[in-house]
Amino acid sequence: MKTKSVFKNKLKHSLKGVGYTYLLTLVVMFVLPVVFTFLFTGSLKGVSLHNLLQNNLLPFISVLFLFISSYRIYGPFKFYIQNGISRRTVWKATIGVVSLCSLLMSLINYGYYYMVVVPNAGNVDNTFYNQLFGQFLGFHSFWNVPAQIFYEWLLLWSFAVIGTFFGSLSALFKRRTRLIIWLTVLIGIVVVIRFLMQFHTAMNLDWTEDVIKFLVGYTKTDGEGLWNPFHPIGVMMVAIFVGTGINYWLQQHLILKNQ
Amino acid sequence: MQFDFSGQEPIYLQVANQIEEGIFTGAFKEETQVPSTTEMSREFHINPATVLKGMNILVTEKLVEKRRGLGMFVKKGAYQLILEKRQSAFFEDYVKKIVSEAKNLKLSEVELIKLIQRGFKTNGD
Amino acid sequence: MEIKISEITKKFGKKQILNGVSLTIEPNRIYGLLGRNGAGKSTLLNIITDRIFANDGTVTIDGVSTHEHDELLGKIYLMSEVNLYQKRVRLQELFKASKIMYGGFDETYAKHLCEAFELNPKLRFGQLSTGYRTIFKLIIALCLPVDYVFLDEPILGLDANHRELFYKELLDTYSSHPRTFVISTHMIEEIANMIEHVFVLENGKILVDDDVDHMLSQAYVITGPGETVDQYTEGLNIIGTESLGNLKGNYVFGSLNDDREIPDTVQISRMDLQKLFIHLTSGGGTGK
Repeated sequence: MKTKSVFKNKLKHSLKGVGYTYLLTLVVMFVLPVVFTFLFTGSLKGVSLHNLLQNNLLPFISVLFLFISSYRIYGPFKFYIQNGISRRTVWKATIGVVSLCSLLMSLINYGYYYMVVVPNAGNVDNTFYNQLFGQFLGFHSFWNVPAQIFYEWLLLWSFAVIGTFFGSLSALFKRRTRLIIWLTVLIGIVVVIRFLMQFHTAMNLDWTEDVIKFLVGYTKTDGEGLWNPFHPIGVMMVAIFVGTGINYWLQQHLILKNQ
Repeated sequence: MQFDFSGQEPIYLQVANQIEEGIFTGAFKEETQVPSTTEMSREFHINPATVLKGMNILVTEKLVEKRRGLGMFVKKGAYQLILEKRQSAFFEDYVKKIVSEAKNLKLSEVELIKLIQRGFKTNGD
Repeated sequence: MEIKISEITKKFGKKQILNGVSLTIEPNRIYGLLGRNGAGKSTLLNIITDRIFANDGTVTIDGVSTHEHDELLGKIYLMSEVNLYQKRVRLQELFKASKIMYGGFDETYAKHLCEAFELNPKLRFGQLSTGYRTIFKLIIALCLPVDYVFLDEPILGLDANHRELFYKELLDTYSSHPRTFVISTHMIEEIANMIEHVFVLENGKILVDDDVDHMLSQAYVITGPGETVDQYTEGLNIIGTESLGNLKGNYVFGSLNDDREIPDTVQISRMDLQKLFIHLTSGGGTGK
């Protein structure tokens, strides 16, 4: 009952955000190059619609939008909590909204790419997916369509889950503690990388390589686009499932702060 | 009507006293309605339950009555009841105090009576 | 349908804010939650509404814990001092959102209140002054279909006219549609006659949990010459004292000993709630 109300309310805001994001992206993709060309060359000679239509920023922007909007979980959280909504209900509604938005963005991105970008770029189809997995289901297989949409959906959703994770985590702490934690994590990463760079030859890291190969669906077959997309799809599904569970646990501990 | 609440008595008693005073002075005439609990609660920022408690004292004393669906009304003969009540309380409330103060001021009984007579002659001025 | 708070304990770091607080909030009454700054009032209210968690203790309605319980939390609204609304959102949007969250909102009454307080619902929350933010939150609190309304500092920034208006509207809506109000405020004098029952919180503990009438009936000021007053009040629960030369006033909370002869030079009078509160919470005497 309440889940439905929260879901609707959240979805309304998210859809607004999606709309504004695409609008802004189009401005960046089309208006800015024109303006800059005019500013630097003094004329509009170098501008061609044909070139502009070959740009594809949408997947990148989608990832950014979902990550950032998911990261900023605390604002809405405060609003719902003070309106008598339980944390569990907010969490449940969020799952619905995030999955729906990432699916929607995946569909829009797919449509834009194949209806606008590809025809203008001389039918060159070089998405990340196609380069890695495009041949696995057969070059002209119809199944590439749902597989690619599904793949991007899960990818976008994963970033939203990761954003929610960091957002929930940082909302658990006070500003100062948060700063200290971020700094510690950053320094830790630098130290680990430094350590690996110095000693990786001396260590047997083959197993990590195997793990990574399995995760991305690497196959021994040579040639482009023959990796198995179901490995990363499975991995992302598990990651979303586990991540969402972790987020539940984090959000159960969220409280209202006076800052 | 101006209610004046002080901290010396419980509020519900003050509510009862103020309405009684209103009836006695003729502000609330017999057979007419007294302000409703809600109205009094609103105007004087008093909890409705407290106002009701004060009202109930007046009901017990047969000064007001509840008329179904209409509200509280001053009962017929309420003025007479208040008059009699106050007359019988006059000795306790006023005479005792006057006598005690007269003693403090070293006034004799005869002198006090004279003063009272003077008060009646000058009509209290 | 009563809210039962039992043995609530809360620490912030090493600081003990609440220490075994237990109380019962019944339906359809007006309560005052009084305490000095830092006594733990807001913390308690935040725990009741599950906004923060207690270290120990429970909050239940009819034996069911309110923690993470949509239906029960939906019966409670806490209007608090902190501004949690997003600044760029219009007031009428916030009204609508509250309606969706609580499954109801008295729009006619909200319109009436906006007019009475001269608040334009088309404004954005960020455009409001402190006083009008309070008014806006009060309007939400009075229009939601909840059984329990908690008001934490409900008159922050309100001028005398608006306070007067608020008290009137509160008692009006309470009479026409009874529900429980718990008012936590520093302006004790103004709400003293509105509240039926009072909780006094002091140092994280409940010092007084009593009906106002009953509480005040045990509060006395004994004034007169210093020695006589001290003699008369010896052994009584003296919560405060004031003196002017040899003239002394002792504030007593608890029954006077009726067997004692009242000396001629001693006067006994009553205290109002504010005076009683000040003396109870200024460190002298005990609440018992």
